[in-house]
Amino acid sequence: MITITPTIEGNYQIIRLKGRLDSTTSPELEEYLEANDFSKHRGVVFEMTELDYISSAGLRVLLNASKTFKKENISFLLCGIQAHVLEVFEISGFDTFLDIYPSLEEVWKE
Amino acid sequence: MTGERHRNPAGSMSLQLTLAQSDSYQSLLEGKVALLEEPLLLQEHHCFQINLILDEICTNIFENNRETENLRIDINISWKAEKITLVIEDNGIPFDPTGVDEPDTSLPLSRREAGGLGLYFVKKYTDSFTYSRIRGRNRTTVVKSLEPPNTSSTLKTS
Repeated sequence: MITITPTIEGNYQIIRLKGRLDSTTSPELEEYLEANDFSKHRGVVFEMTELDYISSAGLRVLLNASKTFKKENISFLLCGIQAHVLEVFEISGFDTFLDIYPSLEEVWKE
Repeated sequence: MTGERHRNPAGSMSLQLTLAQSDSYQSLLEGKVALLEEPLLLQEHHCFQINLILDEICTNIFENNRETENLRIDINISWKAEKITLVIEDNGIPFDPTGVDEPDTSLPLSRREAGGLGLYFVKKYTDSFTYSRIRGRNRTTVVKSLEPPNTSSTLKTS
C-alpha cells in the first residue's frame, strides 16, 4: 500500500510517500503524476521519511518523472530517504543524477 | 541479567503463489519474511533485502507469464548457520534470470532506462544466484549470507 499526500510550500509541491512503492503500488503514483499539472511550481519534492520499501518498479516511476520534470524545467528533489531504501538508489546509480537531501529542512537551506 | 541471543541454527518454511494472487503477492512475501525475523534475528535491512530479492524474482516471473495458464510459483526458504537459501520454482515459460544483461549504472539521466534493475539488485544482494530447468520447471536459487546480529551492511561492493 502506498499513501500519497501532496501539500504546497511556497513555490514547491511537496509529495509525501508512505508505505511501499512496488510493482503493485507504483502505478498509483504514476497515475497521480500524470493526472496533475506541476508546471506552476518551481520544483517538486518527494518526502520519503515514511517510505519503507521500494523496488525497481518504484524506481522506474521516479526515473520517468525525473526525465519529464527536467524537460519542463521543474526541479525534482528527493528527501528523507531511509538508509536501506537509499542503498537501492546507490546500487542503481540513481544517486548520481537525482538531487537527494537528508531532510526537508536541508532542502530549504539550499 | 542479559543473555546473548542466538540464531535458530537451521530451519525452513515454504510459500506457494498462484497467478490469482498476482495482485497481492508482495504482502504475502512480506508476511512470510516477517516470520523469519525472530528465529534468524533479522535486522531491518535484512528483511528489506530478502523482500526485495523475492519480490523482484516473482515480479519477473509474473511479467514473463502474462499468457501462461495456471502459473504457480513455489518458494522454499531455508537457513543454516549464517546463510539463508531461497529456492523459487515456477511452471512458466523457460527463462534464465541470471543471464539478463546488467544495466550500466554509470549512465547519466538522459540515457538511463530502468530495465534490468530488479535482477541486478538480486545479484548485488546475494552470494550466489543460479538457475536450472528441471522437469519442465524453472528453478532459481539464491544464497545470502547474514552477518552476525548487530553488525552493519551486507552489500557486495563488486
